[in-house]
Amino acid sequence: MPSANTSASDLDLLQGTLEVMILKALSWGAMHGFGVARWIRQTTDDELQIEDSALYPALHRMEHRGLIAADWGLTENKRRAKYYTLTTKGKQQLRARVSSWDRYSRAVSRVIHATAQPS
Amino acid sequence: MSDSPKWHRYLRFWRVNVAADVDAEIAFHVEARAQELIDAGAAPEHARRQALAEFGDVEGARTVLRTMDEQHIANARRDAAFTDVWQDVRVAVRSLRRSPGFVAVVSITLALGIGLNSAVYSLVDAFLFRPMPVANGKDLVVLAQTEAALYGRRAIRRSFRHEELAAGASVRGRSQENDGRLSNRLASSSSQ
Repeated sequence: MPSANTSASDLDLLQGTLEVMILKALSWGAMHGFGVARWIRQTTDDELQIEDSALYPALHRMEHRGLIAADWGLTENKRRAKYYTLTTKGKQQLRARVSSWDRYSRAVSRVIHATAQPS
Repeated sequence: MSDSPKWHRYLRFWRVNVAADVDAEIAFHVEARAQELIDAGAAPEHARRQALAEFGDVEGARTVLRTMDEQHIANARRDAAFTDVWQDVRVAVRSLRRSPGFVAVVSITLALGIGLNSAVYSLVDAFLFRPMPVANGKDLVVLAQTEAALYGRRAIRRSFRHEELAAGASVRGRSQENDGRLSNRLASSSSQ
């Protein structure tokens, strides 16, 4: 995984992984968009700078595709906020995406850390 | 930034308020982030500015989200309408299946009605609207004679008997109109 801050060239990779990170964040329970952004920011130690203006379209797209469900609720401070939860379809998607991500990253990792030079 | 009044949620019964929901969601995010920065020791006005900057293109996101949600609602409505129609069809088929006698009566009535109608119109078409299917059918005439005086006031038209024709009843006049319709294919001839 990148050890420096992500640059523009990592943007495509990030777009593809944003959804799976959202699914993972919501696997702990209902969360509003800000909570998802904060959880990702804290979990990645600020290494992945996800623009909030990119996070919300992803949330809405996933809601429309039935991966997550949205409902308005109140925060601890009695503020009205839109809470997202995983649907059954979203949970299945999370499992599938995590396992394919693991295979993908292991394969890339083996290549970039290879010690045997081509014959 | 303000919470919309409680009664606003009743709007949802009729129409989801897409624009207001999007605005509220973004506003909540910026506000929550600003509060987080203030809790970490930032000055309120500075915290708010930083929260907005971190969010990125607020106006762009607002437009994108509104468009996405409106499109989604339009699609959902169309799907729901289609599902309704489909459900109606299924209910109709199921209830008809439960009363086969009724279906049989209705089908036979319709079949007979349509069949009879087309039969009658085929006859009318063949006999009245088209020329007779013989050589020069358009030029056929009907020979008849009018007997005005014999049976009271009304003139009676009657055909010639065979003997009369054989005797060579003379044709004195003939209709000028001869466009092939039966009603005009009459030529009059006085008797005796």
